[in-house]
Amino acid sequence: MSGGVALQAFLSGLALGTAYGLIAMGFSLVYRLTGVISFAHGDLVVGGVFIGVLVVLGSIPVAAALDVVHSVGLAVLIVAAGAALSAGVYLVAVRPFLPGVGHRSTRGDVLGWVASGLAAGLLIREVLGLVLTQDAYAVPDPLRLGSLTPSGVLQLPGGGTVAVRTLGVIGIGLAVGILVERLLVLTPVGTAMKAVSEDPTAAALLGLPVRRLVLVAFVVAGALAGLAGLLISPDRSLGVDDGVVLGLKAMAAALVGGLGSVRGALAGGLALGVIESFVVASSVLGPHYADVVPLAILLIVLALGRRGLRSPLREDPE
Amino acid sequence: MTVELAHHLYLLIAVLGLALSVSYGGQPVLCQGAFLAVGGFGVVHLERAGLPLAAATFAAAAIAACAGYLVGLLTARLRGAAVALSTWAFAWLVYALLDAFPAVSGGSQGLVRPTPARLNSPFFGVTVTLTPWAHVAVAGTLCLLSLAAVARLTRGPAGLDWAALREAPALATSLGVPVLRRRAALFATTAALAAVSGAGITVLLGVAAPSDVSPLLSLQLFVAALIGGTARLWGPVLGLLVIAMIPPLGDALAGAVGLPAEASGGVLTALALVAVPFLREPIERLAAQWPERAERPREPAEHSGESATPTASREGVMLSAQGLDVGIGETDILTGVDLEVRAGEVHALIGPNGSGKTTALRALAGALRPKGGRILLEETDVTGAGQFEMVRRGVTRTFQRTVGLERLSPHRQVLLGVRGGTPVPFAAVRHLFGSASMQDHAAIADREAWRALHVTELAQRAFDRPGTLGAGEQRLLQVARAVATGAHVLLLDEPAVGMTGPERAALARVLRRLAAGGVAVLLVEHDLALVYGVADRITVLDRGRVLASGTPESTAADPAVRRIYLGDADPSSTHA
Amino acid sequence: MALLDVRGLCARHGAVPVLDDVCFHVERGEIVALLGGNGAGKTTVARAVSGLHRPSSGEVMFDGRDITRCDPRRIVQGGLSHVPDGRRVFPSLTVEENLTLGAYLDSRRKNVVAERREDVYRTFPRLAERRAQRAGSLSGGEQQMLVIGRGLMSDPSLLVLDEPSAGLAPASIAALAEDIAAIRAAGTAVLLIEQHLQLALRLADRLVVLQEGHVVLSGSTAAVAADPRIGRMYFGDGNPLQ
Repeated sequence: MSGGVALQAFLSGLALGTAYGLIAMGFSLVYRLTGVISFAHGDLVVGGVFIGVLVVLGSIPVAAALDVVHSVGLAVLIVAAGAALSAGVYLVAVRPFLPGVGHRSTRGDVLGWVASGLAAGLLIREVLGLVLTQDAYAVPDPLRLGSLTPSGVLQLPGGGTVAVRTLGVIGIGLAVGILVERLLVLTPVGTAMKAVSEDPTAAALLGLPVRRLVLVAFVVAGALAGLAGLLISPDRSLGVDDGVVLGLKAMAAALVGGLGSVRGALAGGLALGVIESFVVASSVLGPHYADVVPLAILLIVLALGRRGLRSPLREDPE
Repeated sequence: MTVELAHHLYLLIAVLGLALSVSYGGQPVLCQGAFLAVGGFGVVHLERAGLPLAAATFAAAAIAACAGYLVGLLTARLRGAAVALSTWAFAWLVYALLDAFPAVSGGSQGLVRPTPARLNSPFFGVTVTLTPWAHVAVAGTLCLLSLAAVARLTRGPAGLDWAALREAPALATSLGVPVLRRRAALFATTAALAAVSGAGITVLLGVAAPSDVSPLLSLQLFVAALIGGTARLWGPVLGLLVIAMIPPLGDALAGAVGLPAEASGGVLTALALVAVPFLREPIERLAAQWPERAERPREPAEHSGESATPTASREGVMLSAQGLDVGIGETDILTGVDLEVRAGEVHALIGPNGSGKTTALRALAGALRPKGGRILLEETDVTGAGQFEMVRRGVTRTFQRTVGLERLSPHRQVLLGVRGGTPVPFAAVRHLFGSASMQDHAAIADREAWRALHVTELAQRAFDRPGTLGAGEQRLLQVARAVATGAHVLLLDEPAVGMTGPERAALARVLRRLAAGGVAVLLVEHDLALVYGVADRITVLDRGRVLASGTPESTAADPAVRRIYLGDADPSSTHA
Repeated sequence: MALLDVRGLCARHGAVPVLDDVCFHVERGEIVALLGGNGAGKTTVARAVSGLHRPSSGEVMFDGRDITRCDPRRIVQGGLSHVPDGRRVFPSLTVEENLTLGAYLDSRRKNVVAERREDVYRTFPRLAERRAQRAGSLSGGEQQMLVIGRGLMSDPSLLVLDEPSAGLAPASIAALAEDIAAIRAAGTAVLLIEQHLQLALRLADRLVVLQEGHVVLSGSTAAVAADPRIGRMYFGDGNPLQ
C-alpha cells in the first residue's frame, strides 16, 4: 500500500470512525446509566435517516439535490427522529424491565430488556421494510459539504485524493462528539448523570430524578445516532437491515474504548473505523472483510476483555 | 404440505437443542441459525468431498459441536446480557462470512444438491430414497429421541447441574461443579442438534442458501425456545407452533391489508418477540403450578436417626493461613492474618462489620487469590488453588446470603453437593444410556445425601418444596449441601442470619455434631451467644488484622476485644 | 405530634417476611437509636421510611403526612434525608460536587446551596480542605463525613443514618459521635441505626431494639440499658464477656 493510498484510507477510516464513535458514545452513555446493552441502538441510526428522508421527500429516497430549506429540515429531522425513536425504545422496551423502587431484583429483568431490545430493533427494521423494499437506497446529502470546492475532492500528498465531504464529516463529527463529552463532564445535568451511573440508589435518596435522567441519556444517545446516520449515509447506499451490523460495530468500538466511558467510545470508534478502512483497502483482505473483522473484534474483546470483580460484563463470582 | 411438516420437525430439533442452553442452562443464545448453517453447508461440502450422506451429517454435527464448545467456553464467564450480545454478534459474523465467501455459500443462490437424497448402505445392500414422508419419519424420530433424552437427563445428575447453572452459578462453583465446562458442553450439544437440523433441512429442500440461515432465523428459534419459558418439555413444542403459525398468519394478514407477505411475517416475529418478555412471568407462574415430578427414593434403611458416620478422623491442624494478605482491587482488606482450623473443632471468626471476616473465608475457600502469605491444607501448600480445586480437596464454603434452588427438593439439592464433591466422569452420558455402574454410584450418592440431611436435622423435610422451608431451615440446607460434598473443612459464613432462637439452638447442635464427626469448622458469625456456645477457639478480626486468638475464655478477657465489642462505657458489666 | 411515626410496619423480601408490626416514633430534635444484629431488619426499616422499599402493610407518617407510598424524591422534599449504609459516595465526583448534588432539589437557588455547603464545611472542616478532591480518594472516616454532609444538604428535619460507624477506626467513631451530637444541637432529629451499642448508648435519647423483625425493647436509653435483656441479646446467656 503506497503512502498516498494509506493516507486516503486513513482519512476515510477516520470519517467512518467518527460515525462509529458517535453511535458508540450513545451506547456507552446508556450503558453507564442503566447497565442496559441497547440491542436496538444500531437501528436508531438507520431509522432516523429513513424517517427523516421519508418525511422530507415524501417518497422513497432518491439522491436528489435539495434546496437549503429542505437540507436544514432534513438534517434536523434525522437527528430528531433518532432521538425520538430512542426515547420510544426506552419507554416501551427498556423501562418496564429496569429495577425500580420496591422491586426485589437489583439488576432488573435482564432477559426482558434483551428480548425487547432485539424486538424493538426488529420492529423498526420490519416496519421500515414495509415501505422500503429494496436492499439499499441512495440517500440525499443535506450537508452538501462536497460543494465547498468545485470538484469536491482535494489532492493529497502522495497521489491520493480525499473528498471534502470526508474532511467535513470528521470535523463536524469530532466537534459534536467532543462538545457532548465536555457537556457531560461540565454541566450539572452531566454531574447528576454521573451520580446516577455510579450509585442509582444513593442518587434517588438525594432526590435526583433518576428515571428522567435516564430518559435524557437515551434521547442524547438517539440524537448522536441520528447525527452519525446523517454523516455517513450519503457516502454509501443504505439498507434497512444495515442497522444491526452498524450497532454491533459501535458496540465493538465502545468495548475497545472501555465500556461506560463516553470519551473512550469516541476514541474506540475512530480506531475501529481506521482498522476497517485499512482492511478494505488492503490487497490481502479486501472489502469482503469490512463486516467480518469488526464483528470478530467484538467477539474477541467480549471473550477476552477485562477480568475481575469490576468487569461489568463478566459474571460476578459471588 | 408434507415437506412443510418435515421442515418444521427438523426445526423442532434445533429448538429442542436451543432449549437446552436457554431453558436448562439459562444462557440467552442468539446464534442457533449460525449452527444450522454449519450443518446445512457442511453436509453439502462433505458430500462433495466424497462422504456418504449419513457420515457427512455426523461429521457436520461434530464440527458444529466443536465450534459450539469453543463459543461456549468463550461466553461461559459472561453475564447473561453479554452472552446475548456475543452470540448475536456471532450469528452476524457467520452471516457476513457466508456473504464474503461465495465459494463456501454458493452466493445468494446457495448450494444445490440433488433431491431426493438416497441413503445407500453397501453393507446391507439397501438403498433408501428420502421422500418427504421419509424425512418426516426421520425428523420425527429424532425429535422423539431428543425429547426422551432430555427428559431422562433432567432426572439424572445432569438435571442437578443444569438447575445449579441456571439459578445459582456461584453456588454451583462453591460446591465443585465445573460451571464453565458444563456450560460449554451444553452449548456444544445445542450446536450439534442445530447442525443435524440444518443438514436435514438442506437434504429435504435440496438447497442451502445464506438467506435461510440468517440471524432472523436465530431470533425466531430463540423466541420459540423462550415461549416455553421454563424447563418444560412441552415448552419448545409450543414455541415452534407459534413460530410455525407466523408465515400462514403473515400471508393472511398480507392478504387482508395488502402488504408483502414476507414483510408482515417479520413484523409478526417482532411482535411475538415483544410479547415474550411480558408473557414470561405468567407462563412461569403457570409452569410453577406443576412442580418437577420429583422421584421420592426411599431412604436406605441402615441410615436413620443420629447414626451419622464421621467423615474425617484426621487429627490436628487441617487448614491454616500464614501471614495472609488479601485485597480486592486496590483496597487491602486483610493484612498478615494467621489462622489455624483444627479437625474436630469449631473455630469462630468474629469481629465488627467490615473487619474482613467474609474476605478471609473467601480467600481460604480459594475464591479470592491472596496477595501475600500462604494457605496450607494439612501439609500441602494450596495458596492460589481455585475454589473448584479446594472443593475437590475437601474445603467447602457457604454464602452469607441464602442461595436457593427453588425447583429442587432439599434431597436433590444435597445430591448436588455430593455430585460436586465426588464427581463421576461422564455421569450424564452414562446415566443417559443406563450404565449399570451408574446405579451403584447413585446408591452411594443417595447414602451420602441422607447422611448430610440427618446431620443437619433436615431429613424430615427432604422432599418438601424449598419454598415451604423456613428461613432457618433454608440456612441449614446451605450447610447440608456443603456437608454433602464430603468436606473435611467447612467454611460457614454467618449461618445463623435470620434464624429464630430454636433454630439457632439446632444450628449449634449441628455444628457440634459436625465437629464430633471430625470435621474442621470455621464459623464466621455475629451472634456472640451462638459463638460462645459452640466455639472451641475464637479469632477476633479488626480492620483486617487478627486482634486476638485463643480459647473463648482468653478472648473474652482480652481488653482489646472488650473495647471493640463493649466500648469504654461498658453497660453490660454494670448490671451483670 | 411526633415528627416520624411508624405504625405497624410489615415488609417482606420476596416471600420472606423481614419486618413484622414495627412501631416507633421520633420526636423533633431528638436522637433515637434503632439497635439490632445483622439480619434483624434495621436497614429495611430505613429503606421503608425513605421510600426505597414498599412495605406490605402499616404506615409511615412524617411531619403529619402519610408518606408510606411516596417515592424517595417526594420524601426528601418533605425534609427526611436517608444516608444509606456502606458510605456510598459518588467516587469519581469531587467532594464539592457530591455535596452540591445533596441539594439537587434546591439547585435553582444557587446561594442557598452555597450557604448550606458552607455550613457543612463548618461542621466538617476536613471536607473543606478536600473540597476539590475526588470522593473515591478520601479515607473511610472522611467518606462517612461526606455522605452525612451530603444528607444534610437538603436541610432535613430528620436525618436517618444507617450504620455510620461500620468499619470505622475507634478514633473516627469518636469524631462521628461528636458530629452527630452537633447535628442534633443544630436542630435536626436523627434516627441512628446501629449495631455499635456504645455509640447508641452515648448519643441516643431513646432506644428501639429490633430482633428478627420485631421490636423487642424500647424506651429511654437509661431504661433500656438497665434491662438485662439487652446484655443477653448482645452476648447471650452464660457468656464470659458479661
